[in-house]
Amino acid sequence: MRAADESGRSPVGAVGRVTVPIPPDGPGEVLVAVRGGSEAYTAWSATAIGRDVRIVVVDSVSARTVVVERLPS
Amino acid sequence: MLFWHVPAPNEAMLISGSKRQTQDTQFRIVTGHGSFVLPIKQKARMLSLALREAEITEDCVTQQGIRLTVRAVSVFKVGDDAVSIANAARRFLSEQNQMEELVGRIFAGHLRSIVGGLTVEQIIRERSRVSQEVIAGSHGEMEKLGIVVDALQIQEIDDATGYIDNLAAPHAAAVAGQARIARAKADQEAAEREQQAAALKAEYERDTAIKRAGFLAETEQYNARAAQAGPLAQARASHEVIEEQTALAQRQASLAAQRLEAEVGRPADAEAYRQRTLAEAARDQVKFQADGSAYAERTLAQAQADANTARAVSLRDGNQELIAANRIVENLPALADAAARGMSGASLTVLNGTDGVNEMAAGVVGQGLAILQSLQRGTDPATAQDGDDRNQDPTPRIADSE
Repeated sequence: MRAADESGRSPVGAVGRVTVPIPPDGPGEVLVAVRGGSEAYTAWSATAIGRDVRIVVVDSVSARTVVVERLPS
Repeated sequence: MLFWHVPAPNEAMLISGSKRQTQDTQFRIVTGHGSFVLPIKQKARMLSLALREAEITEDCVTQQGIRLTVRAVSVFKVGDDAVSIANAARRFLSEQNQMEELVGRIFAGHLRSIVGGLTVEQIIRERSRVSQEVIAGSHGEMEKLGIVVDALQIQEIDDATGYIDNLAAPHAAAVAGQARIARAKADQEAAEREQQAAALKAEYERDTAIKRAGFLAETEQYNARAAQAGPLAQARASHEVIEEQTALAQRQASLAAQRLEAEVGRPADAEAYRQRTLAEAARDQVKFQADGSAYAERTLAQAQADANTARAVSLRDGNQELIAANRIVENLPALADAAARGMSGASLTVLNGTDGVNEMAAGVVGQGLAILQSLQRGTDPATAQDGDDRNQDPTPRIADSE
């Protein structure tokens, strides 16, 4: 069988943007392009990231939780 | 095909009994394509990944301790990744139609914690804070269920304490006040404009009335003038008449005066003149009489003196002629007296003043002398011719006063 099933695709490395501002000590939300669409993940970051800032997913903590960083321009 | 099962795009097919397991799950998850499902040996079930919604109505207490009844709608779906599908399948596969109810109950508790972390103002105004609280409060639990919360919409906040109304009250009051102020201002402005308009109207009315009164006055004036014109003309005419009458009266008066003058004054003057002349004549007559008598006396005295002288001379010379003449000389006063007496009875008008009187007197004396001479000629005609050859005696001679 060909691996057409993308349900196991990891969002790490995907680029997205912040939909709910990420505070330095709490979760925010990012919309990441993955599986041909865009999905919302709960995002944590070492620094506070404001709304609509482009990010890159650097790590996946759980299925719906990722660690993000600012996308270097 | 009977054994070829294809899940819909919004479904995940879960095949149990399969030996080919891609994940560590006890069943195979198939999304996006079809798969053989062997009868009896394998069993396929479909899990909908579609969007679902749960309505929650919950009494919550905010961070400030204010009791609110919140009605929210939670929109969620089963996550698209294998982990979420597996979690959701294990929990909800047999009760998919009860998923909303279950998630709603779970979410109600989360809603309490979400609202408890916020203030009323934040709930109302700060959407991002609400979303953050939703994530922080419900994410872990939802992930356990394999559910992704797309949105939580707070639809209604029932405020039993009236906090929101009170929150709004100052603004509402301010706005209402502003509205009232604006209305009052507008009213005031309108009233001002109206007053101005009324004032202008009154002014125009006043001006019109003044003008009308002015025109009326002018008309009246002209009417009065016109009305007066007749009487005035009459008065003028009568004035002229009176003037004429006055002039007439004056003329009549002057005429009467003249007539009086002529009839009374002049005769009186004439009479007075006559009287005066008569008086003067009488006075002159008396005067002349006096003069005449005085002159006669003087002449007599003179004649006497001359006679005496002649007598004295003749006595000295013994001249017979003179003696003879002496007789006549003696009679001279009597002659002169007679001549003078002849005049004394006459009333005559002497026109040459005193000279006239003298002339008269001289005339009278001259007459006396002429009489004397004629008498002498009568007595001695010889002597009359050579009177000058006689001796140069200083006989008095009365020169003819011509």
